[in-house]
Amino acid sequence: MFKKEDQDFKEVETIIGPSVKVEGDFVGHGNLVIEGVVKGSVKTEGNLKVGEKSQVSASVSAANAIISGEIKGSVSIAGDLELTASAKIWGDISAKSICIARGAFLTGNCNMTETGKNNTAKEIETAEEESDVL
Amino acid sequence: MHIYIYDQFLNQRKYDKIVSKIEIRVTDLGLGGKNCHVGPLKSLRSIVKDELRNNPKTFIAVGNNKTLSEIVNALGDEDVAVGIIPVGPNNSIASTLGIENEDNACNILSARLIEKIDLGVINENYFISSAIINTQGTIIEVNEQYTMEPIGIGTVEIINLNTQREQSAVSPQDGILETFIKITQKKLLSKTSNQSFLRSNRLIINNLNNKNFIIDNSVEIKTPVQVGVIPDRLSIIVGKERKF
Repeated sequence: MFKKEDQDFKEVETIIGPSVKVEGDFVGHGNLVIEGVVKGSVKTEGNLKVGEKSQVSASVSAANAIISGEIKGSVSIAGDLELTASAKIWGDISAKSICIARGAFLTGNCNMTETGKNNTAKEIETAEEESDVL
Repeated sequence: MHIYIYDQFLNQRKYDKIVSKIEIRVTDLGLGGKNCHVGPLKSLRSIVKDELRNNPKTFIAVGNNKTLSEIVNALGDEDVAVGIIPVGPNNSIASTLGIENEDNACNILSARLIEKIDLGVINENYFISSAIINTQGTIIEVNEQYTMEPIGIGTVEIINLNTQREQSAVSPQDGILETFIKITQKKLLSKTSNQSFLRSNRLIINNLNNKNFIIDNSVEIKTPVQVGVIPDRLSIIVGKERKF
């Protein structure tokens, strides 16, 4: 996703521009670009791009994501997550693969999982037990 | 039978030649039918309602976007094909359908290539191309899930049939409406604009400043409005050069 960014965002389902404020539960199926203000929750089956000047106060879930703006809330990505140098996140992040650029700000737990979803307490316990056995 | 509805503005003397030329041309092509002229004592809506009793084959708007929009709204749920012979300005819909002028229109009517397209619904009214309102005081509720509030001066445009923009994503045959929120920001020496875009088939829009929607560049609709889309609702005669 990171290499072919332009290609992935050619077919954008929704663009939330810098002069738009969104409140509520956003549920989408396609690619989403956020450049403005969002409060609530964001869930899309497609890719997500959060622009440099955007302010997101929401739990975020997407297939892949490139974050350059501010997010206050958890970020759960099924595939690749990229935080650029201007990204600021206050919340937990989880993804299959994570790329964090120098200068990015992150306060929260960072999880890398097969599914991209946050590990449950039971899963963490099981993993710990397995490592002890080894 | 074809019903030709000549809009009221065609009663002006300057359109006499064009009107008689159209009447001769359709007769030559064997497309003759009933010519109805809208006037001060006979509204377009009443003409359509009267003629529907005779089970017409086609209603043909002779005029502009407003004429076509009024015919589509007067037809209501009736499934009758419509066509347009564009005369004068404000004919962006005809142009998008691949119909450039009255000569070209008569040939296209003769070929009778029909496409089914979606119709936008705004409260009780249909729109073919777009519905537009100012951004100031406008709040959009999308699919009853979230609200969008534009900040700044600009327009909210809901598009079914794309008559102006170059975006290829807009199709009148996909059962979805495209909404563009365009905000223009004035700076000291320049103007910049930014755009938001969403695809949805269920919107509720209110304007706190009591501004009205304008549908198809012609009819005003009071807010709040409920906006939706009816897929494949309109059978319309199109040219080969149509832009969708």
